[in-house]
Amino acid sequence: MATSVQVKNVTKRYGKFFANNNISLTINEGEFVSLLGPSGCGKTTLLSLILGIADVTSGDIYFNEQKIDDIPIHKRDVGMVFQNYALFPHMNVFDNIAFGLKMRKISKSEIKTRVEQALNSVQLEDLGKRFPNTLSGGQQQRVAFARAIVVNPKVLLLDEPLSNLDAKLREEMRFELKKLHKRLGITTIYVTHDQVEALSLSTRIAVMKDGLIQQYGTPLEIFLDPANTFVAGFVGFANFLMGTIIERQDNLILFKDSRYGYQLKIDISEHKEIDSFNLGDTVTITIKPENIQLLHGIEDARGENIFHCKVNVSDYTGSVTRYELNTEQGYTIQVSEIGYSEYQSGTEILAVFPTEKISLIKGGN
Amino acid sequence: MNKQINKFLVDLPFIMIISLFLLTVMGITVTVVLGAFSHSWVGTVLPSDWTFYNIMHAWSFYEIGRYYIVSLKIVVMATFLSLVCAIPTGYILARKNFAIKGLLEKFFKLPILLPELLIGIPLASLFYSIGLAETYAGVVLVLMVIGIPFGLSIMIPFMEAMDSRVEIAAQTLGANKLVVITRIVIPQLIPGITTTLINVFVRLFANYALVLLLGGPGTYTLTIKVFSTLANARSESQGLLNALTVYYMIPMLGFTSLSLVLQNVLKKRFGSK
Amino acid sequence: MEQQIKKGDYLLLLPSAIPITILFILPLLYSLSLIFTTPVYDELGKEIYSDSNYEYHYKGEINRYRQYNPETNEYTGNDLRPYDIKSRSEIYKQVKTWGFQNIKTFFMTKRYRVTILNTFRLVIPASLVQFLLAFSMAYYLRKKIRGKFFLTTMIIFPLTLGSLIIASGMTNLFRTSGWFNLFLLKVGLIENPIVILYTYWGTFIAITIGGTAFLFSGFLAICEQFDPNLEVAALTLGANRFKTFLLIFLPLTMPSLLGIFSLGTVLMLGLYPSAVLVGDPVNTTRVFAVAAFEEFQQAFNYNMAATVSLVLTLSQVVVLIVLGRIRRLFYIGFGGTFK
Repeated sequence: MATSVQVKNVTKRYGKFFANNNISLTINEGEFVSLLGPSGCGKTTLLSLILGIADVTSGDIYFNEQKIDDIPIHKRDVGMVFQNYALFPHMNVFDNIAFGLKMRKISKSEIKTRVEQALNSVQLEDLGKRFPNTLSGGQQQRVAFARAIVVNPKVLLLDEPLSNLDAKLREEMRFELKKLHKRLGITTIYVTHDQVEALSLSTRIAVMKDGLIQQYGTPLEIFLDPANTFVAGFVGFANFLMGTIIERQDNLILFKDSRYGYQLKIDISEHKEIDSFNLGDTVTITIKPENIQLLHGIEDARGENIFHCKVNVSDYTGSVTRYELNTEQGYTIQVSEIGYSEYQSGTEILAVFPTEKISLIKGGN
Repeated sequence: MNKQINKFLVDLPFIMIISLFLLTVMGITVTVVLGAFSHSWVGTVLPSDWTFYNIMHAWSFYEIGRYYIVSLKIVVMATFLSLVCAIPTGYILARKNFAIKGLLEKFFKLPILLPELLIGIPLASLFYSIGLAETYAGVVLVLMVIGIPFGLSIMIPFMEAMDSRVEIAAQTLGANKLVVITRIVIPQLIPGITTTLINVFVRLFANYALVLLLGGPGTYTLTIKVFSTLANARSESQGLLNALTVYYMIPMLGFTSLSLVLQNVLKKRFGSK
Repeated sequence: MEQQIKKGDYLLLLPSAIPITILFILPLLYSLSLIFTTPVYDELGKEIYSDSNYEYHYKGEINRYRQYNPETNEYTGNDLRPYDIKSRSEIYKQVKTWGFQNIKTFFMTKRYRVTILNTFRLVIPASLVQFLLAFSMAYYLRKKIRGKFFLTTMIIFPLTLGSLIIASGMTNLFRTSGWFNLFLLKVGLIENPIVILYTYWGTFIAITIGGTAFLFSGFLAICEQFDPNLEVAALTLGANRFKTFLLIFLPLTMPSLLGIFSLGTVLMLGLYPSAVLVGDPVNTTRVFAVAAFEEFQQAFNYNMAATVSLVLTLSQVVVLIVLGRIRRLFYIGFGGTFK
């Protein structure tokens, strides 16, 4: 029933600039895949190619086993929700939603029932007669969703649909989007630069940079096991240290940092490629700010992975308190603690990197 | 109190300039209308006796009805054809980026920048030798030379203001090129096309140089009639001349107020948030 | 997000490009051939026609053209009426030679040469006055004040009226017994009515009214778009209103203002109805267009008419270049709201 999408060796070139460079991506039936990356990474270009408003320079795109490169947009049967919603300003809500059905030459009575159903499902029953410019941002967005899904498209494309909403509404809509996908099961491709949205919504995430896919995997894989420092940084890792493996015992690795000389123990039993780390390999370690433990008032602490630091800046943002700590050697550590905690700047403090929370990435920067 | 006086003194020169200008403008307009409805008006603030004679007499004396029809035929046709040509071109210029776009935009501006004489004289010479001069077709064609560029210059900003993603959205929902143009682009462009239509119409209606050069007795518009009458008849009764001017003013004012009203209505209907 | 351009899309350029090329570019080229050819005149100063076999020379006393065979150098005895010659331009072509004769004639003959001086004598002072009037009105009306819509509509009103109605109205308002003179006499500023109509000043006032309305419509948009926070910032930093205007507002708006100003001035160089209807087209307001229409309509000398319009066009180019230079001096950027 649902459609799979295959992107095979797709390159899109504008003059000398490679917006997409030999990209391959398989999206299974009913999956929700996010294209995650900073602006200019090529995610919007890839979406444009699947949508059909630009032609590939080389490579092919398939829906199920069918090549779609030569199918014009209006026959591709993709649903699209734009960042600014792109509602037809001269049609009321009902006509906006009915447009796709009319194009499919569906009978008037059926259009009426299906549009009403769609309005119901996005909780806009009473707004059929209103024009888009009289709706709030959230309402416009619901109309855009209803308009895209009422025709049961093969693939649903979403271009940062939540980015124009305020923070509270964004969270609400994210939740509804998740429910919607669960109910409909349409194969969905979601373009975003917000890692939280991508992690919470997707079955798989493709992290992109410079026209290339850096990593393609489930949110958990990317969250726990980033393929490189870019991906790690993008999904919220920090506190990078580069160095070499100097000892290995089963799943325990001893790492020596090449800049400051710190030695750290790392538990890699959760790591996917557990056997690919050998003695002498150059690796980068990273840990999320929220996974670092802070200890205060302990004079002579012993144990692994302890840094003696001073608080440089503290910043309470409502749900977390962020700290920037400096070690004597000049290493800067980012830490966040849940809730409010008060260590004034200048406070001497210990930062502990738990062995099982450190991620190991092959290679240097 | 002091502050208010100060502010008034700063504003005073501006207020004086604006009043002076507006008094002149209103004086020009009002005296024409007053003059058209009076017998003789010499040396008094207001005319001494009122009459409809000038208005009635001017209608037949200057063949106003015939000139209205000729003007309407020529200007409606030229406006229509100019828009038919300008809409597709304007759409591409507003929507797409390509190498020679800047050059083309300059090219399309030239006919309204360069003096009409520069085009009109050789065109007249050519049209006289191929028999197009003084015909309806000839005058309509020559008016299109300024109608198309002028139409483009007004229409393009409206087209640029349209969101191209709306058209892509329609395509994803199954609309082909034709449907996109007829159901999505044109309806959104109604305010822009209406504004362009009225502006081009007024501009072509008021054109004198090209029509004077290429028209003939049968194809002179009301503008030419008014111009040649005013230029050659300094001895004619001022009241009659004023009546002729009033007849000329009516369509101009009519269309301009129509454009203002329409703009207001359309703004309410299509306005962005 | 933008849709890629397809080859077929370029076809949509043709509906405008074809008529403009045929009706604009070709005549321009043809106009060059008009400018650089001159009619050949016989010893009586009359034009000569030719039907490629014979020449036709005007025989003044019996109002006929005599058929002349250039090969045998003899008159054949067949005579034709001027009407037959001139109305059948497809057969009888005027004999012409190539050269710079027309341009030479333009600069050698006073009644042509004087058009340059007359035009600039009108346009330069008038455009300066227009700039001052339009800019002060636009500056004052840039903020939302009561009655703004009415005031701006009325100031732009002359654009709707057009130069014909302005001229016609002026013949009422400014005649010796009109409101203008009546008012000045009543106030006691003058003892005898001033004659404005059918002089230099009639044309001057007419083009000033129209031109001010044109400049104002452009200036107002520029003044309204100017970010008022820039002015507030200057005021908070201790500049007074005048300094703020001089150091912040003026430098930032000047380039855009001069852009509109160049357009207005260039278009004004082609003035015609105001010069004829309320000016003195024989003397002080004999401008380019007056001379060109005279050649075209009265002398039927298309070559000279085209030459006059060429000089007009060249004058426009010169004005554009000069104003462009001035504009570059002022250019530092536009103070619209950053987006």
